[in-house]
Amino acid sequence: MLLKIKNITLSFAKGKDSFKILNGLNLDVPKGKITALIGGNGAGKTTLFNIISGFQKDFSGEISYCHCGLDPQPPLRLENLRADKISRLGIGRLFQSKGLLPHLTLLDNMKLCSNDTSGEFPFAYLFRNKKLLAIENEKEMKAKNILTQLFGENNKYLGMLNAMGCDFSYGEQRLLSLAGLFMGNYDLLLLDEPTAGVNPVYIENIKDIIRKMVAAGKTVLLIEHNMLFVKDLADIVAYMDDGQIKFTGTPNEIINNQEVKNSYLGIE
Amino acid sequence: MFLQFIINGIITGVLYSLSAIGFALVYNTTRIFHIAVAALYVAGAYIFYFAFHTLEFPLWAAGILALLFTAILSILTEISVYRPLYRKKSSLNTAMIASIGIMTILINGIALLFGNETKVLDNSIQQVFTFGEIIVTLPQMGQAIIGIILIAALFAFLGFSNFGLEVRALCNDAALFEISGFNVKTTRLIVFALSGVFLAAGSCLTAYDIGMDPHIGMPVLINAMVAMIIGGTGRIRACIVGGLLLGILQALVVFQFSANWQNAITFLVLLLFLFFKPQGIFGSKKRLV
Repeated sequence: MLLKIKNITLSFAKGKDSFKILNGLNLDVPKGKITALIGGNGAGKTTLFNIISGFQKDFSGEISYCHCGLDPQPPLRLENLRADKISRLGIGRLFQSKGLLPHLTLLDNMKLCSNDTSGEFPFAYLFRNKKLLAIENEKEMKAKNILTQLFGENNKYLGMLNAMGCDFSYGEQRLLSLAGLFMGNYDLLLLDEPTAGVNPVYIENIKDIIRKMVAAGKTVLLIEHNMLFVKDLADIVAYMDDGQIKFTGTPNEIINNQEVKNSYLGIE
Repeated sequence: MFLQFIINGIITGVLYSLSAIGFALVYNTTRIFHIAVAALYVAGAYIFYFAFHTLEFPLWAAGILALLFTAILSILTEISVYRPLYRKKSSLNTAMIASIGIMTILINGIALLFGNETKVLDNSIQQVFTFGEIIVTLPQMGQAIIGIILIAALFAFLGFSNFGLEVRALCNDAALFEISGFNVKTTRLIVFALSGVFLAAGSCLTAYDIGMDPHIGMPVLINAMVAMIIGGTGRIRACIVGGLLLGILQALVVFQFSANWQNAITFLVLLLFLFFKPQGIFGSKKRLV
């Protein structure tokens, strides 16, 4: 397992008003597979993503991440790590409501996604200028290659590398954010509703991108309400309700589960 | 005479630019309306005075000490006040009120230590340089040269380092910045330190010329804020254009009317920009929703 989530409990508010967003949640995410997390609004799916990626603290339970590398290493515990450290361990994320950084160019957005911190030290350029410039050039080439691989030769985005993030439509920003995840050295990708607000043509592109991610050895955990998309793409589906994983199985098993049909899909 | 006022305006504009950069670095990155800038500005001037007058440091060493100390003080405001508020997801209004608190405490502390009367660093007759009809004093020359060097250094620093890109990314969206593997805390600390350096530079250069009292900070904050807004928020180069424009405009007001009208014209310009070009000179139209 790449990611093991054990007995996660999180409550908001205190005293009488306390309610559990996550209530002893357990989930295993196998390496190299697409695991889809489905469930009604308020089931705690995005909260779980926030916990895994380090944005939500004050919860109880364990998250173990098998840090992939050439040497086998003991699983790392993520509970007390900051979001930036978790990202550097190889966990990337697509947010539900965020696209590109609005006032940075597409190229800068792509470069920042590379989770490479060469030159982060403010005066690094004074000491290792040539090496850092070479790294920057490599990043630019990689960004162009990724855009070419995903959207074809001479696609319009290659000519828009200097356009600002906010110049792209919402759907394009989602696509390009997904493309940005290829820049980084990520092993696990958390994709929060990648098809939300995106037109059908783009949805097909997103499917292709995610398949390419898995073919490139990445593991995907995605939240999605579009059941056709989930059925087409996911290897494993976990149904979430009341802050717990109620059922886990193949897409067909979950879609045909009577309780899922009644309480989530609205099919008698 | 007119040209003399323009030159005076440009030099004042460089000083406004330094303060505006000090304010904008924090505002653009964190969106905190960093009113404590006024107190840090005063602190910089008084450390300069203390090191030069009391400790009898050479002028340059007193200046460097003031820059370092103000940078540290600026970092302390982040660590002790803004960071805990950020961690608790407090609103930016709360941070602004806290900032007013920092300003009040620091300015009163400085007044208690040094008194409320005006302090002068050097009251000897200053050397002047004459270029045709234009006269520039030695402190004015220092203000222009050091100010321009500092601004150029900042541009090189932000423009040619990954750090510049990181600052802009943090200014865009902290969560996306963090999820890309960058440390928000460290980046904010460096930004606060840089802000302190620019505030201290502005205050030392001004204080050497015209002296100081504990209440010089607020008018500077207002000018810095106006310079940033008319230049266009979110861009450091806008602070320079805004600062220069404001400096020249105020000098022309003195030339044409009287110094009493400076503040009124400053706010008139601010209002005109807010009504007709709220995005500032360098701002561009963007998607509204």
